[in-house]
Amino acid sequence: MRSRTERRWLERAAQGIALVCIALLAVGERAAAPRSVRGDAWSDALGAATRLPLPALDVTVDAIPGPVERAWLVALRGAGTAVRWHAPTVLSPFAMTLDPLGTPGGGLTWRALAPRGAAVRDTAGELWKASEGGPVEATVVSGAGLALETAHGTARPPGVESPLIARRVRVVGRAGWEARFVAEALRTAGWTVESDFMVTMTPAPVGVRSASARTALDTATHAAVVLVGRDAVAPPRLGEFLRAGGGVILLGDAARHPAAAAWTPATVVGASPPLPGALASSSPRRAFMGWRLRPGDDAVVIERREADALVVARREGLGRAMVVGYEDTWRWQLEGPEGSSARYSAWWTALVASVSRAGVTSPAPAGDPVPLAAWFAALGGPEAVRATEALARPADPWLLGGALLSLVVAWLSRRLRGLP
Amino acid sequence: MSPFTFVTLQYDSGDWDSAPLVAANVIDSLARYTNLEVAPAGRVVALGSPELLAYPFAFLTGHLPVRFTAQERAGLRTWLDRGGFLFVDDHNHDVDGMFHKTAMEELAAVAGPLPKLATNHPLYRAHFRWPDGPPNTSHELNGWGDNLVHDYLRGATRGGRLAVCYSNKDYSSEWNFHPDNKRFYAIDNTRFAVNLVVYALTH
Repeated sequence: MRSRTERRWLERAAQGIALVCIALLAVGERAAAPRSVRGDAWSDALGAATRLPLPALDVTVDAIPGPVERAWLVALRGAGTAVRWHAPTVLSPFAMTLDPLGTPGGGLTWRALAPRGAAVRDTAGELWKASEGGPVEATVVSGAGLALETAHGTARPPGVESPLIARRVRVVGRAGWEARFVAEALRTAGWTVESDFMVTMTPAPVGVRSASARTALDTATHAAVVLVGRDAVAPPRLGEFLRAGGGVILLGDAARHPAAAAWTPATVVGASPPLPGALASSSPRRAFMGWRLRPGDDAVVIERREADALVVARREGLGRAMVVGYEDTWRWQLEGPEGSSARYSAWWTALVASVSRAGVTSPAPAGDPVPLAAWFAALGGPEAVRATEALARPADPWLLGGALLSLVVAWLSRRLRGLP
Repeated sequence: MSPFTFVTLQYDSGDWDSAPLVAANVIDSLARYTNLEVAPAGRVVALGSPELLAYPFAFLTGHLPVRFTAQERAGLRTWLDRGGFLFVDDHNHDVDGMFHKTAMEELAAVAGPLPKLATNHPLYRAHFRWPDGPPNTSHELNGWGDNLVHDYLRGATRGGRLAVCYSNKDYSSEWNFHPDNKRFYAIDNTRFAVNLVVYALTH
């Protein structure tokens, strides 16, 4: 039989153990409880959550957080904190992009998805205000300070400046209206066009050729080559020009040209009939006779007519090749309704710009062009906050058992001593 | 690819159809000397008709005074603005003739002034080469008409390209014969028509 003193120490030890277990249970429960942060107290809340890591953090936002908060939350999640968010109101999507036109005239195109009341500004002031929500686009000379301001936040496209581009385009093909009007459309848009039009093919090709068209193709000076038809006399080393960063457009049935066999983005599989009268419609290219194309494995379909691919592109080395499977596109210029000449020229310059390589790369993105999409991409969709239920963990059974056992031991010991 | 179609313009005033064999003769020459895709027959298109917009090359000739209607003027202006090429030939080869005076007035009103083309104009070397300017016609050399050899053509431009080419040389008479009879010529006198078409197709 132990002495009374020893019993007393045993009881105290058991009570102490019970207290320690209960304290540990309390601390653990407190640590497991989610912290709720509202969107207007970012810096304090995120700072606190970083200094004392939490197992979970619930975020309530009434506007789309900026890139700093977004990155901070992603970092917390990466450090083990379960980050969830919800919004009591609908967060309207808004976004803004800025792309170089890549045309001789230079300039940039901004496109915005803006809710009603949003405004586009640059360093000089307001450029545009949305009376109604929806997508909108316009061209600017410079993108300095461009931003889309909405009630839900601000979108700033990454800084892009109008690139330096090679302005020379070579149009090669049999003499005909298609080659002639394509060259004229590009010249009208500001490209320096080298024409190389064959008039007789036998016994040797003889044609009308710009003096500069006798020079070798060079990506330093030439943006692109337009090969009109499969019987065009392809310039020497066309494939090398393409792989070195040049652009090549295969027009009409030029996808069948032997010189393009190794790198053509698509093969011709049949004809696609025109729709008479479509030049005056909203789909004027529907009026062209087309070639149905079968895209290569790594090719991208740029334009379709119903299920048929009509314009297809792919990368080859540093360059881009495109098949434009339309015939007699010149009819748009001549037979289309008022304004068709400008639209025809704009379409052709856009095609050439899309395959030509910009001489200057854009700086690293520094803005926040698509805040809501970036927010979703970083943190996923919203979740209903039921923090206590969702995050409450069962108490540690060892601690709980230890506390109960210690209390029972202490109680039994006291009872055996005749104490209550 | 649409073939080249030789179009003869029909206009309300005058005798637009005074050289009916020119089309066949030019088409024959294009087939002889080039690999261009050419429609086997020419077409007659009314000047004020929207159909003209389907054909970027047209030929206009006549002996009699020319007065375009408002519709013809508007149609011609639109067609030229959009890229059409018009070759006009005075079937009288006579600078004092009524065709010349009236056609020049009408063309100037629609297309602007028509100065003389330099002898080194690309038109004269678009396919065959004439380093001294346009080839002469037998009618000029025989002293018919105004008894002058017109050693120039005139032209109006649109956006830097020749849009209207005007001739006093009477190619309409020179080329108005059946193509089979070319075998009697030591040098085919329709070769300049090839230059006109090739120039239009390449500039």
